[in-house]
Amino acid sequence: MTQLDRVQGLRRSVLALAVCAAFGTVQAQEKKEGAEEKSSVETQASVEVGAAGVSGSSSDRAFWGEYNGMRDQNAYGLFNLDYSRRDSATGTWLEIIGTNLGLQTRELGLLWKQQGNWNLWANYGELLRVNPYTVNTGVTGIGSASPTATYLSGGAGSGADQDLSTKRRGLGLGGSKWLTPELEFEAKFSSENKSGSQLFGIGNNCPSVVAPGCSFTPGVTTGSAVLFYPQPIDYNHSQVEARLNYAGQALQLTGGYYGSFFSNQNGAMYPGVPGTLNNPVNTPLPLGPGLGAILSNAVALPPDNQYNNFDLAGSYAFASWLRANFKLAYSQGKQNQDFAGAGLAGAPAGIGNLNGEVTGKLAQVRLAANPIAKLSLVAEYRYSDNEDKTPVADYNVVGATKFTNQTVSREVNAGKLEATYRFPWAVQGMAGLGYTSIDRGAYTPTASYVGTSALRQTTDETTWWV
Amino acid sequence: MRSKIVLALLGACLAGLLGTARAAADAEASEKCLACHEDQANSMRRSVHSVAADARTPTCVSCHGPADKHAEDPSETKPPNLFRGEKALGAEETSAVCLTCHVKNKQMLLWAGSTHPQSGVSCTGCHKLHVEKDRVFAKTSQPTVCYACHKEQRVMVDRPSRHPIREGKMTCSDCHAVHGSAGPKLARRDSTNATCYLCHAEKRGPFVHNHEPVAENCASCHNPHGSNIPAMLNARDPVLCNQCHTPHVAGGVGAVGGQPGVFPPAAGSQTVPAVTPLSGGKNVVNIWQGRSCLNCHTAIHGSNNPAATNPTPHYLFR
Repeated sequence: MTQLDRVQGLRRSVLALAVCAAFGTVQAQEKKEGAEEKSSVETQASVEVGAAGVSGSSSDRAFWGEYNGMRDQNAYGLFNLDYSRRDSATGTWLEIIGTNLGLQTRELGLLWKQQGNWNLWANYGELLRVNPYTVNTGVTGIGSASPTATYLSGGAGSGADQDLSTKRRGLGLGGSKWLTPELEFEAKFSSENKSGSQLFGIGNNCPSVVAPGCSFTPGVTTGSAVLFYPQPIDYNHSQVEARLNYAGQALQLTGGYYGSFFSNQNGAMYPGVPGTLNNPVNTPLPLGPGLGAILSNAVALPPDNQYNNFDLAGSYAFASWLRANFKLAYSQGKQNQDFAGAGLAGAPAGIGNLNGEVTGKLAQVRLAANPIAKLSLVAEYRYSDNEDKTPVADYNVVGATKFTNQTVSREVNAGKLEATYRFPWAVQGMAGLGYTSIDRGAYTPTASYVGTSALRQTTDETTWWV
Repeated sequence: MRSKIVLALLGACLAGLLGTARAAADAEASEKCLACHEDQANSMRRSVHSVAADARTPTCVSCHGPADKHAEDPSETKPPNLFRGEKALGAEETSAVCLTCHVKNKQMLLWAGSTHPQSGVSCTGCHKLHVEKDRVFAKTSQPTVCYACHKEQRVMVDRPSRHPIREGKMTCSDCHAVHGSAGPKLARRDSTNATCYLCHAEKRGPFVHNHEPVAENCASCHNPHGSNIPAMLNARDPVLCNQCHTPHVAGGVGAVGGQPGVFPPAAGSQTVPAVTPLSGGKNVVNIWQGRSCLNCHTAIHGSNNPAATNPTPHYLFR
């Protein structure tokens, strides 16, 4: 009952009429004759103001206008600015840069710093993405958690054209300060909202191996359906990072914390299913109650999750030609969104959320040497371990058989030796030997699925290259 | 004239704050350079390397080395450290000059032995010093610097499904730590996935029903530099899914059957076609058209649906 109108190829019949000349580019630079040597302050600014017209229909510029904010309208305002003020006596800078301020892809950034001492910055940005595929559909409530499909009596193509889009709006703040000539502290924070809708849908079969009980009356309730329902997007993603950097002559270190916090205002989508659907050749058919019940099930949307990461990295020079560096990191990812709160029913008894947890460990060490100017030698070892500590429970039922959820862990040991020599005439020779071992852990019988492919438990690769 | 003032301030600052005879000597020596190279100083007058108040600011000889003999006979003798031309330093020596100061930059901690220096890329291979603003620091112009070597990626970012790099809304360094990283392909964070989650945190999970390759590596299915297939997929569905999964079979006819025509004709002893518009959700229409496998397996990145009743969502239906 829906139709996807694919815009094939990139037909750029668009005529962009930038008429900046009508307004001109205004540039100003403070310059006081005779006072140049007295003042250490220098200001430079430019402002660009204009208008742009775009010819053709919006579908003609589906790909061209996917990200540039000029998909749907024919006329746009253009506004950019660039301001900087610098005091060379104090080393203080102020910069304000705005780009695409007249479009829905606007960005505004501010930087204030005393070079070598401190800096503060802020930025705001928007990004509109319009899906290049126009959807002709009878679905209403697009962008909401309860989109409803309506039967198109006129058949495929008789619905309304919909251009699905998402918009990101983000704010970032940060700064740093040299506490001593060797010690720097820096911190930053960002928060971004993403809203809109994107291509999505549901589909199923009745009866099927995973839904044998849906056929109440054989011959009446059997069938299948694939329905377009745009996924509602209403996300927030906040990230924070704090870091302490030490910079000695031979030893440099950096240690910090990074946190990432994702939240989704929509825990689930509730499809509204009509009583009649068109089949693929446009014949209206009644929707059986068994299939209708399947299609009306709540659809889980991405759950809230949190991620915390601590790391320490460093570099040490044993000699001018021999240096070692390393990185250590520990991370923890959590996902414990309440099922009922998200609008999702049917969890196993006594389980309110997944209580998902994945921890990560990383250790990398590298030795790099340049014993002679044109020869580089590298030895590297890397260990990482992502351990899925999520408890297992009987989330799956196929017929009368129960299965648990599956955890996904991964331990990797990798190393390499590599030599590079630079010959004359920009010719370089390289030879190396590498080894990678991946262990995904043994699957217990209760953690296995039926009918799906599991990645192999271990992978060992030895590689050499010249 | 202006450049001389800047350099004089710079030198005075160095001498005053550091209190070293070396800095003063460098500044004095550098003043000689301006007699002929004033244009060079002017070109970088507003760069971060021309901030006199910053005690770390270099002079000409800090980077190019002492050039007394060059000053006496410019045509016969060149400064010891040249970064362009036939007598330019090699990659290691060039970077070593920059690292004299920038080794203290935290971004450089994992530089030694990383991909770029191992490939003979020096600092000046990407950075321009004698300019007011280095183009690698602007999102719109940075990719052009990277494309000088990474020509395959230059083609990819112009494909129909891509990130907004062409519009200057994303740039290479949003995902890559080009000075060295503990991640693959110089990823900005320690893994490909952790880098993708910087913007796509909704995919992180863990979920009740995980999809193993999703948790392992986004690049198993996506090419972040661009693709001719929607969602930057490495291959079109169902071919992509069939790289791991066996195709569905409905009515005895494989999902990849159905040629010629949408629905295969009755075969062998069959009196009616085994697969028709009404025969089941796994017919060739649903498998090949639209979002293909994703028409039904719609929560392909993972489902957090806990329902333990039929049909359970463990096939990522909902």
